[in-house]
Amino acid sequence: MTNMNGRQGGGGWVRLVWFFGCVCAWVLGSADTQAMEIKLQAQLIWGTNDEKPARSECKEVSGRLREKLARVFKWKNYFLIKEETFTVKSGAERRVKMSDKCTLEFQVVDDFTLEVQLFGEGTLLKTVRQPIQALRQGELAVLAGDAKDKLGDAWFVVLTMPRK
Amino acid sequence: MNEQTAWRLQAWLDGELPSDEAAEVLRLVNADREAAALVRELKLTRAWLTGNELRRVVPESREFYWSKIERELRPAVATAADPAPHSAGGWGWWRWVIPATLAAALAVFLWMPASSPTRQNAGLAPAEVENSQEDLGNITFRSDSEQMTVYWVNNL
Repeated sequence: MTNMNGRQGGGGWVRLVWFFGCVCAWVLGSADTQAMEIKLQAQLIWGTNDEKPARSECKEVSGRLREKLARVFKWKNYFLIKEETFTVKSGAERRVKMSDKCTLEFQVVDDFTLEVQLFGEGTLLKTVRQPIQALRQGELAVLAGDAKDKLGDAWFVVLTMPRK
Repeated sequence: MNEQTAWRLQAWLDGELPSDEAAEVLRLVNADREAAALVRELKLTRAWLTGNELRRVVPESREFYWSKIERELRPAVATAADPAPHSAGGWGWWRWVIPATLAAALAVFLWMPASSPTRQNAGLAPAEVENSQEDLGNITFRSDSEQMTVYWVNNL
């Protein structure tokens, strides 16, 4: 009787272990196949010490972003030229045109890394690998340079991960 | 009569002596009164032992008697075959501990990817930069206070 009961208990355990194994396999399998998708915002900003041109449609950058830019850079005024919000999925490249001269290409390299390529008039100028976790925690990735059109001004592409 | 002669008489009665020695002992028994008395006493003792040995009778059948012995042996064999954790009390306790352990291990395993220090560090590793065109004017710097990484490009 004792042996018989013990054998029945062992069979129950085999089934229980199988159940846990299946649950683990399902969880791991679904995690691996789950496509990663991140939402990003790109803002093309003009930095200048001049006032806003009268006919210009761009609006002045305000709030925390302006404060951050002003604390890091030397320019007094920052004008938003274009803003794009988009998603980047793992396994697919996302190209975003910010202006006639400036295009960005995004790619999720792995669970931790976002690759950003900056194209200037169709030519690859810079490749940046940005930690996704840092973006999630509010990091700003800023691609910037001197403006060729007007001496002393600068352009900025600010990449952020919107909270919502 | 010495002790050796007494041993020879006993051996003669038991039929253990060769024929020549047996004839010699027989002559001694016929000639010596003491030897003859010892032989009579030995024969009498043997007769008493063989004829009056106490017979013990088992008051049960042969099968029932051996089945009792078998029943006495069986619990010891069963106990030796079953390890202690399979006893009713111990097994009942393990029945709850093992699933709880498995569930805890699964929970930790699922929780680790999001919170393990290694992965968090990997997620916060410094950004990597590749310049496709050689330009010494390209600069990368980070402001910790503003949480901002700047990639300055001079060729756009």
